[in-house]
Amino acid sequence: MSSADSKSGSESNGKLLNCAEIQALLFDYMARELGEGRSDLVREHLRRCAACQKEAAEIGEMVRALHEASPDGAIDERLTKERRKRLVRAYMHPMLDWIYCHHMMISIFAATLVLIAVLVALLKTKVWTVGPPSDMGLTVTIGRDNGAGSVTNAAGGNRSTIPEPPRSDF
Amino acid sequence: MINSRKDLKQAKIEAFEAVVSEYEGPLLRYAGRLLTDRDAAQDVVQNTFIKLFRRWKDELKPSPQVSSWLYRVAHNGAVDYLRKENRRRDLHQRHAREHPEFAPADRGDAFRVSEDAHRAVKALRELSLREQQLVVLKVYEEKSYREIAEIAGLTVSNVGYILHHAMKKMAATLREMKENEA
Repeated sequence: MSSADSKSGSESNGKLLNCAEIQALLFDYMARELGEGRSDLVREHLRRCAACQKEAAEIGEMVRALHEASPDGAIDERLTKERRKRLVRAYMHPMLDWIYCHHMMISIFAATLVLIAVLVALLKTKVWTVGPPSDMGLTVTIGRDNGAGSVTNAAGGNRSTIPEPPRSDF
Repeated sequence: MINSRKDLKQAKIEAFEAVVSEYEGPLLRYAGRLLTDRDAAQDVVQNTFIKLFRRWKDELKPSPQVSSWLYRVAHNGAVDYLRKENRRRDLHQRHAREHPEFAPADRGDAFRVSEDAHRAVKALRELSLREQQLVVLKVYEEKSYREIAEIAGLTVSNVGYILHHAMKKMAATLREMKENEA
């Protein structure tokens, strides 16, 4: 407690405010957040109390230093053009914006759908069959009796002919 | 029919312009001071507006409700950014300790402020995010305790209490810094 404390107590609702109580109100006072009555009390106290004056000066100095460290001019006042464009899109075309934002997820989903569709189509057209391979062997014979070779599967079906190579005149 | 659609579109554009023009500056200052990074502040403010367009159900026009909502969302965005940034910074610091040759260059005189200002900003950064929010809103944005209470979701007396203690903490940190330097 300062020397001025006991002498310079300020009265609030019939009760004297000491330096600690005044200092608790100092920032509110400087921010103009105190009512008229309490502002007068703090002002009156500050006029007479050196310790509280020092405290108030310290707060004032701190606020000034904060303003100096980050002046308004050093900070952007407007959003960049690109960001504004993005905002316009988000506001006017929310669905388009959602697609734009989630394009990776949508691409992966679409690619998965296409893959599934292709797989289903291939299975339906029986380009290949799923199951054990057929045990039907393939026999290839090259004969001279009738002048041509033949390819026969074990069941005797699918007969096709292989033309005999041309004879040499020598 | 076409005219009414055109009118609707025009009204929408006007509402957009009114809200963005009114709040982009204050929000950029607010986020910029919390984050001390221009690009990050731009991102946070952009995302704040996008959230507003998606979630605001009433008529869109500048109002104290819209203002409080925007500050609240910008603050949450800034806090999220800072948390991510802190994690990244820890990694960078570890990297810088291991590889001092990659340390960033001095930014030059243009970025230097007085020692007092430098100390004040350091003292501000020592505060909790809640305290920083209140100090920035009061000192820079000059909001009233009532407005701050609405933005931060606190009571008016809580705002006064937190600010008083934040200023006391900052003063103590500044004194300590000066003593250490002396």
